[in-house]
Amino acid sequence: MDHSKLSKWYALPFLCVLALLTVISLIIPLRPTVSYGELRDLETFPAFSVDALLSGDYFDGITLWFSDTFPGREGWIDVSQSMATLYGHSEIAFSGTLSDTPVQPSLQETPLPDPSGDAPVSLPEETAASEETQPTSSAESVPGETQTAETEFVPPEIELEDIFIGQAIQIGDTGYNQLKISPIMSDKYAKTLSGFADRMAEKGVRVISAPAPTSIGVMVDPAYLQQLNCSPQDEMLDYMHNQMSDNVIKVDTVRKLMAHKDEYIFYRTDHHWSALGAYYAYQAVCEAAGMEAVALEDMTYWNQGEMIGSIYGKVPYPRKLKRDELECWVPQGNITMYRSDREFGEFPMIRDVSNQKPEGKYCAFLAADAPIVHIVNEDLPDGPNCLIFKDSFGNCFTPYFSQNYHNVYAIDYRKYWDTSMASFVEKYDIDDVIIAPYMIATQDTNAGSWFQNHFR
Amino acid sequence: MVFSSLLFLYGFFPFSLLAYGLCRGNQRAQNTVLLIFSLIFYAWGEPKYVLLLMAMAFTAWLCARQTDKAQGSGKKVWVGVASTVMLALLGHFKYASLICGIFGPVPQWVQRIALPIGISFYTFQLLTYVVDVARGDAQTQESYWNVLLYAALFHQCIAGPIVRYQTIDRELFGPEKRSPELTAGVSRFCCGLAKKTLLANPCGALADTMLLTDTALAGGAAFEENLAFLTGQSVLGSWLGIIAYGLHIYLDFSAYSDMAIGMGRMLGLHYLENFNYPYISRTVTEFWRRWHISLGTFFRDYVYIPLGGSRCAPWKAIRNTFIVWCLTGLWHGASWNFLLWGLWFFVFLMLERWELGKLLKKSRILSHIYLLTVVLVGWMIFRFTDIRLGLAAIRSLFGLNGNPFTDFTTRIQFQSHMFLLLAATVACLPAAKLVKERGTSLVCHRGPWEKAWNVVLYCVIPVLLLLLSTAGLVGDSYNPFIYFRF
Repeated sequence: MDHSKLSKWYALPFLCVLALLTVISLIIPLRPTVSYGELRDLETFPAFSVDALLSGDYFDGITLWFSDTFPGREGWIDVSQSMATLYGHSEIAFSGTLSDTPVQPSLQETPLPDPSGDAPVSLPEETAASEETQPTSSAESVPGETQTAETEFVPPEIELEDIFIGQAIQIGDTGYNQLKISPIMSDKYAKTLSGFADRMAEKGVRVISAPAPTSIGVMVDPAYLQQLNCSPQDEMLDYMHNQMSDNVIKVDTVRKLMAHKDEYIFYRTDHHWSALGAYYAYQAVCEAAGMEAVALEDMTYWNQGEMIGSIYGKVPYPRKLKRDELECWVPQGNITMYRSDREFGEFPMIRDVSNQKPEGKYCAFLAADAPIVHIVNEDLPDGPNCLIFKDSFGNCFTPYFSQNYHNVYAIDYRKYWDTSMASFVEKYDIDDVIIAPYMIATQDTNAGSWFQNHFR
Repeated sequence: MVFSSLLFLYGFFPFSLLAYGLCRGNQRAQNTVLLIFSLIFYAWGEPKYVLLLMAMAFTAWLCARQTDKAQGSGKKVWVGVASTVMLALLGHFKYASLICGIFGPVPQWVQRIALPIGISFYTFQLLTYVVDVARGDAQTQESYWNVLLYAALFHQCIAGPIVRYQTIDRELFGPEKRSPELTAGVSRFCCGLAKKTLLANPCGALADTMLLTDTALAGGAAFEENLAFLTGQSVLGSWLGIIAYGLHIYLDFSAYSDMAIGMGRMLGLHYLENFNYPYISRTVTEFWRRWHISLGTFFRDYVYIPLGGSRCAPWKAIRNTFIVWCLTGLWHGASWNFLLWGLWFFVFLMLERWELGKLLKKSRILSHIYLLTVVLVGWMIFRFTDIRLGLAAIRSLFGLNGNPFTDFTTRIQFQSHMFLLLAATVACLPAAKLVKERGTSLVCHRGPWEKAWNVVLYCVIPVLLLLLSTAGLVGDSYNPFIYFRF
């Protein structure tokens, strides 16, 4: 065909669209600054310097800024994601290949201190802790309480983000994190808890093991788990619990949640369980510990709207994920919560995030990973006291215990480094210690070191 | 800057078109616009190396002028000067590490030498200019700025095709008025853009998944981990990875050529085709007639034939072919695996010249399987600069590492990408071209049908491809043009 005979007017629509998008892209106010879908701030226009200019970094920065903040970004990505779903047909999707090793490949090489020893774990001195991991004074942490001197903990240099949460896997409209058992870490975890429970038993303190399962171990068919290089979490939990001392009250949180797997017990865009999932775990603890669980109906239901969590953006087709809702059940009574996080004061157990952006709404619970919180229920003045040893999974789990205890102390083991749990129990007259890290942490070398440090 | 970046699409490109259009009727002004935009385009990626480009263009301009004035062997002297200077610079920037590595540890300062973008392409272009002038195949260009424009023209400066001076001399600098083919150019540009963003990029991501990413491969410390990954990859997983890589490398590179040719046409410049559906070939010889044509013809006309070509003693013909394939391999990268890759094809070319060629003519299917196997295994050599990793990956293709035949990851990745692979495969075949030609001949001279066909072909499809490509580019972090490294 002789192309020179083609009318140039055919090119007009292309030129018009090109011109229109060029003009739009030059209108700076139309450029977004935050990606809600990816949960990140978008690139900013680079600062000028002669060095950056000569090295090409300045121009690279402009190129990156231009594409990263392109007007209508979310809509374009929606189209792009829709196209990506046409690449093939598979319910399961993941980026890269699935690791066939346990949580941390180097776990066999990581020496752990003697759990019975009193010395804190030796950690490199030259590494500064992050601001969030700085030791928190217990005097600040718990109002009205006094501290006794004891050996100080050395906070680890590990950033919270370093904690392995497993590779993201997408099955249909739900995202999961891969988890494979590490027998070595399971053994060490069981040994650590057993040693602590035996010592606590001598003081009449009950130790309750109630790890928080992750969604893949509860919601996904066991036949699939093998193919996904994941371990069945009911078997993982059995393996750990079978090795624990008789002084540990073992709670089968996994099977308890499995019994409710047709309910909304795990988020689809986030690695946490939902408040409902946490409630069933709370029920299981109560059953194992001989307490009466508060009924859901006796709490106030609060739906705080759409939520997007941590897995979103890590799976290949995030737009296929079904959006989550932040459901809460607010315990009733004369309850006050105090938090410590450099400043202390009253703080709601479940705060209002209904008007916030959907990402990160999980922070509504328990002051969002504060090193320590103290919940007081004045309606139970003669009630027992408990210590909950938890991570972020414990944030929506802890509030329910305000219905059973006068004082509930919740310690985030990733951030609290003031005192050992044994000392804490003694100081605050704790009756029950509920140990509820999430399942992946029990298999993690970093967390394993922390547990030994805390339960020394 | 790359063509498939949003800044190029909605910043550089429309403004260059606008500026060029405003100078309509004044070719000198249009060339000035092209030169300014080309230098900005090049400087955007490598600000300091724009001086190197200018210096090399100056060398070519000067030597060509001297060559033109010189008589007899004097011409050869100036060609020799130009070749020495430019190849020395290419050697310094591209091959210094490789050469130093032969004699021992590579010094730090050598390791720090960065490869200027597109140096392999514009060095060869400038060499063809000087040689063509010496041969009398091209006229001397009096203006240095015109030689610089020829070398720096942003359509082809950094990733080809290698445009010979004589190909565009008349159109770029001649007195005749250019005749832009705006519609055809737009159509070709959009096809290239879509090939890159909608097909090549996801194929590349799949290849990375199955055969490790460049980032993973760059970490020498992770060698054992990478080796374990590749030796453990299933047979089908390895084939899936290398097929995806083969599709990616063709679609990526040909897309760039499509865009360059398209932009050239918009301005009335006609660059020669660089690809002609290479994967439909039946022999390696045919493959290389269809793959990166501008490079193949460069080596044929400026190395192979001057050495004597095939019209000489058999051993000399083999030597000449051997040299060409060593150079072809090394042109693609300063690493021994590229040399091995060139020699891989040399071996099969030699075999085809003898008995294998006759055997392949007997079966169409077997010859296609043969060609694809040779090319895909070749891509495995090409992909891994560490030859040990490449060999491990090749062994995995045939199950020689004790690796499983297939596994869950392979199945899922195949299912997740099967329609993409199908579409990418179709894009490697002349199917779309045949449909277009058939449709055009059907509606030819049929009034409204012809108009409707042209509207769909030249109005609707380009706009649709532009919009879909934009969607693909927004937030797409996976967007490197792989031929930049050359």
